[in-house]
Amino acid sequence: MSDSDLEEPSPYVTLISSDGYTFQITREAAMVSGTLKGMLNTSFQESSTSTIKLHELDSQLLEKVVEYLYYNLKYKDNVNIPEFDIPTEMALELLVAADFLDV
Amino acid sequence: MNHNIVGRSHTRIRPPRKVLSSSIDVEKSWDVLRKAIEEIQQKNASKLSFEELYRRAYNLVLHKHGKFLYDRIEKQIRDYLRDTVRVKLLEKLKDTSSDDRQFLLEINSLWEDHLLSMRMISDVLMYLDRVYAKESHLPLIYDVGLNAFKDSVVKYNDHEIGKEVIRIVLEFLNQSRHGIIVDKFVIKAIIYMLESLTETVNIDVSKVTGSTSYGENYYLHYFEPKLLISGHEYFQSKVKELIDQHSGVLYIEKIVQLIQEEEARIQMYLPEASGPKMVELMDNDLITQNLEFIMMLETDGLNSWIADSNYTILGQLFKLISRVDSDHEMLRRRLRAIILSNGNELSQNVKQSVESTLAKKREEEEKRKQIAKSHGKKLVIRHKSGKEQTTLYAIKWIESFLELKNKYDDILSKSFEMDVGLSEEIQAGFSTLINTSERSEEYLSLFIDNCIRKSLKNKGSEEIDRTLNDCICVFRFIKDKDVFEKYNRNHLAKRLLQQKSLSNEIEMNMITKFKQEIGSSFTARLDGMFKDIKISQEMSSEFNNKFARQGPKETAVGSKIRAANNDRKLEFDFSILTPSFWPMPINKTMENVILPPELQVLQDSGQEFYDTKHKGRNLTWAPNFGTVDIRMYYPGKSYEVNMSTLSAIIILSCFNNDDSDTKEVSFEKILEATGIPEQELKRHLQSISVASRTRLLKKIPMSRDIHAGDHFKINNQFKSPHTRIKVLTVASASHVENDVERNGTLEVIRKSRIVETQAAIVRVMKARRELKHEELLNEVIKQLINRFKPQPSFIKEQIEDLIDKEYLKRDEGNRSVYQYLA
Repeated sequence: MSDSDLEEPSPYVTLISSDGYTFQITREAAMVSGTLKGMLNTSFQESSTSTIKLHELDSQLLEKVVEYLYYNLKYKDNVNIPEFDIPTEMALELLVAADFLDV
Repeated sequence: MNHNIVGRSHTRIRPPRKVLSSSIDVEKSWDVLRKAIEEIQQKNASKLSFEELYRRAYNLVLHKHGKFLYDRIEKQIRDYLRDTVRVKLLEKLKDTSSDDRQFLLEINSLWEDHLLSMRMISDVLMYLDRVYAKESHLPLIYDVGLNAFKDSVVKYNDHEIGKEVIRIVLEFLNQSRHGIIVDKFVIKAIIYMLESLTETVNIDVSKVTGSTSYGENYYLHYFEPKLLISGHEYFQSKVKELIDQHSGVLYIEKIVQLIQEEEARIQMYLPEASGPKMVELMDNDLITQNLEFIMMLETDGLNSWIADSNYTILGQLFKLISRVDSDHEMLRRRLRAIILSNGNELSQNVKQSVESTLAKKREEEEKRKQIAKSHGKKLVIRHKSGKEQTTLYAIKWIESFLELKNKYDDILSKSFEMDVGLSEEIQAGFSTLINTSERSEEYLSLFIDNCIRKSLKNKGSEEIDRTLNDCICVFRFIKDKDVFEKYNRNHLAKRLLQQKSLSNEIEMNMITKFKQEIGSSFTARLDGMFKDIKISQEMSSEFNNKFARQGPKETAVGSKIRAANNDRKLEFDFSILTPSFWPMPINKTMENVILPPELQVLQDSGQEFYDTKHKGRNLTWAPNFGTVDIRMYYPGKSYEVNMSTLSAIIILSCFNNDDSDTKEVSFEKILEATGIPEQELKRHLQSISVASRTRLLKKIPMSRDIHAGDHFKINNQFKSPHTRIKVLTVASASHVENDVERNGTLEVIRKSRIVETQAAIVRVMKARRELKHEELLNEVIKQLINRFKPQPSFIKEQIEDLIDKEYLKRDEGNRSVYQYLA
């Protein structure tokens, strides 16, 4: 994949929520999600633009998702992990998002 | 996200957005996905949105349309492969402007495109894989794609394309075997492709292990069998071609090369699991099936390579056989046979060489005879006696044996990598060779005798050491060591008494080596003999120094001796031998021999001298050994004659008077005057009156054999070109025994074996008090193995004998247990 390495020097990717908010996150954090990883690694539209529009997630949900991506990235190798705060009312939505994103 | 969601009853959990929303448009979603797949297959993926495709598949699966989607996708891919890819390939096949290689390139490129498409399709359908395929235990979409390629392209229409592919690849491999350059990379890629086409996806196993089993694949199932058949055919034809040349060297060289090349090919093209099968097939065809036949070729097989010491070929042979059998059974079998046949040839060759040596000598002598005749002279030629001929044979035999052994040792180190198994086989072969050859023990003893008497003369210490080590090497093979000991002791005795050893150092060296090899019990008597001789020499010289002095210091004994010898100096060397060390029995009949005064004086003085040194020891004089130097005056010339003591007694007692020149003495008179036993007397008379070169006496009548009534007188016509003459009675060199002597020796050995075996049994039983039959046998064999290998039946006889003699008894309760009786 030397081609895509050259085309994608940017260490950041842009996530766009269904209601139009954009989130710039590191590529590394995005890779935590199997789905996002798939999108960025195959030669589809998303990989060339480093921009992913997520029709399934609104900004509120996406923000929490992004928070989790970083949280996971930070603690993936640790043993003592602080609890990740999940607002109760969002729980089900997050569950679905997690399934969608394969995290 | 596996985090606890702590329920708080006062907050309402929002429902996920779309889960409960109305059903989606299934057909529309499929249409989008279908078109996307087509685009991907056309390599237009970059225009597509992953997110959209993923989301559509996600939603379809979420709404329980997983099966629908999965089946549609599979059909879509299959149809595409069958109707597009396959058709393209068939067209390529029909295209006369395209060749086999281009066809392979085409299928490979279509395959690679397909793989790329499948990867992208399966990425987009990740959710389908993850949720639907896994739960339903179906292959992942990617594998569906591979299967589809196999079913809809390769295997379609009874392997229409697959058969072509196999044919071409095998053809290419064959071309490469025949030195034609082929496109390695496409072959490799195609084989890799065939290997990727999984044959049976075992769903049952996947349920258990959670992963798909990729056991069989198209390569293993369809390609490999044909590959092996084609390889087999190739090897067979190659073998036939080579065998027809009837050259073992060529065969070995060619198959070494062939194996090398084929292994490179295997390394290059074949998957890891397949390589060993091909190697096994090749080794079987080229080595296991045919190499033994090649080794057995008469003119250019193992036999001739060994004969020529062809280390290169033998080394290659060894390596080849190592491939199929780490025990080298085939080689061992052939080696065994060859060593044994070498043994037969050896005896033949030695015989021929001895005969031709003798024939040459005879021819030369014949010539000399002719020349002498033409000069009016008669030349009498003494032919080598049959005994000497067989002795020469014995020495040559051992020499040839050693040569042969060295040859195999060289082969072992230079070609067989000092392989332990082969080394054992060779040792065993030589052991059999020597132990099945009659008289090898005697031959070895004669060989050693010859070395120490003659052949090591003027040789460097290194060479001497090497020769002696060679002797030990042969000795090691000999099983009946007691037989050898018997001969060796006889030969050593003769050397010591006749002072024929080149040096004491060599003798001692040899004894030391025997000691190192099997221990001092074997050499105790040899050491004893050696010591006897050394002490005797010192004593003799002391005696001579003491009594040979003349003038004022002359002793009474000295003057007596001188007087007995007409006022001339007389020296006396004697050997004091301990009977138990020496092989010759004390001959009581010799006590009756009447010594002439000259000798009697010496014997008396010697006896007296010895008694002053060692009181109370009993000496038995043995005039049947030893020699005397006599100066004999014949008309015109005097000679110094060395002869046996008994011959000297005859001359001195009967032919040393004033009237001896003319007097005739009868056989009976000589017998009476000397007291020499009749048989011995005949032998010695023969040597001084019949033997052509030493006819000191004249026998009347002249005939070969001595009979009672014969008369003897001094032979006044005696003439010899030399002043110093040696009368040969006691054969000067050791020789091979004739059959009668041999049987006598064997009988002696048999008797001594009985004694030794019984002694061993008694020793063991005395120590153990009570022992089972088997254990006793083992113990006894262990004790005797350095002497000879006793047969169990022989030991049993001795046990019986000891029971009769009441040394042992059988246990009453258990008949197989013996008890020692004090």
